Amino acid sequence: MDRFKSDEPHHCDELLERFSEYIDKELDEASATELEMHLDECEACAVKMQEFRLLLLNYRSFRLDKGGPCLSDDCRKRIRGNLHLD
Amino acid sequence: MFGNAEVEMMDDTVLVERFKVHGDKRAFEAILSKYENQVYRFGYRMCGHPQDAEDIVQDTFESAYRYLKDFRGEASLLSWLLKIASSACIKKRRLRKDQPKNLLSYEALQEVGGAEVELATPQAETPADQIVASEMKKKLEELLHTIPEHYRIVLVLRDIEGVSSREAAEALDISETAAKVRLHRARAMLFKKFEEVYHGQVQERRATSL
Repeated sequence: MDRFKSDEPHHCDELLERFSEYIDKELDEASATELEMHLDECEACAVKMQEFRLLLLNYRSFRLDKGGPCLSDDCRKRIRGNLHLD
Repeated sequence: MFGNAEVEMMDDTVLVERFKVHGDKRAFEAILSKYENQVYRFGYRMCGHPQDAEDIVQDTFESAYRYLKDFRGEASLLSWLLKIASSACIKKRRLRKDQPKNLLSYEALQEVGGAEVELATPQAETPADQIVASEMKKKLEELLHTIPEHYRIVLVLRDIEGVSSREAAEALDISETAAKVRLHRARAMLFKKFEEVYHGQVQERRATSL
């Protein structure tokens, strides 16, 4: 547990990859519990975890975005022409 | 005989079979129409250049047309297409070494919604929210280009395109463990960049205003 002490900020800085593993449920039970206990004790890390989740949520929302950049009509026609689909 | 509208409604397995067995070009056209914009957005996120992204779509579907006969359906059709697109991106980036220079700036964030702007929520409720969300998406797209390509590609495949670890690993010809390690590192790098650009500049602004 010592390596998660909230009075050791250099360790907190190293936790981002662990946040990611935790979100993907890839941590073993002991490590997940250890991280949860740290998040309960360290407000800075709890905030960081929340922001980390939000950032990922925003990127995941891109998946549903049908209004993003689209292929140009010229390219669309060129591909169909090259493949003799038209 | 099926009409064009019926072909467009068919699921991927049926479309692939129709193309493989009957050489039905309308089936390939339906696949192309269904996925061309998704492959384009993937290429754009990887290369940051509309022209490169178009080349990637063209290379991907021309290869898919040639090799669809070998597609066995072990992964989804989309992840198979993204595997081809990933190879095309890597080849393209080897030829073009320049990186986009338009990184996320504090000023750009200010234009979006001010110093205390919140991250855009996936569902914007009003037209004004939608504009803010759209601008923030643009900034987050730019932020993607601040991390190295071999990390970015895993993050784009997993977090944006939603493919599994196994499919991402297959697409990049690496082990599933390596794909997971790269994803966690990519997210951490992206978050650090986000903090550097966003929080760092907010603090700097606060300090200078004292």
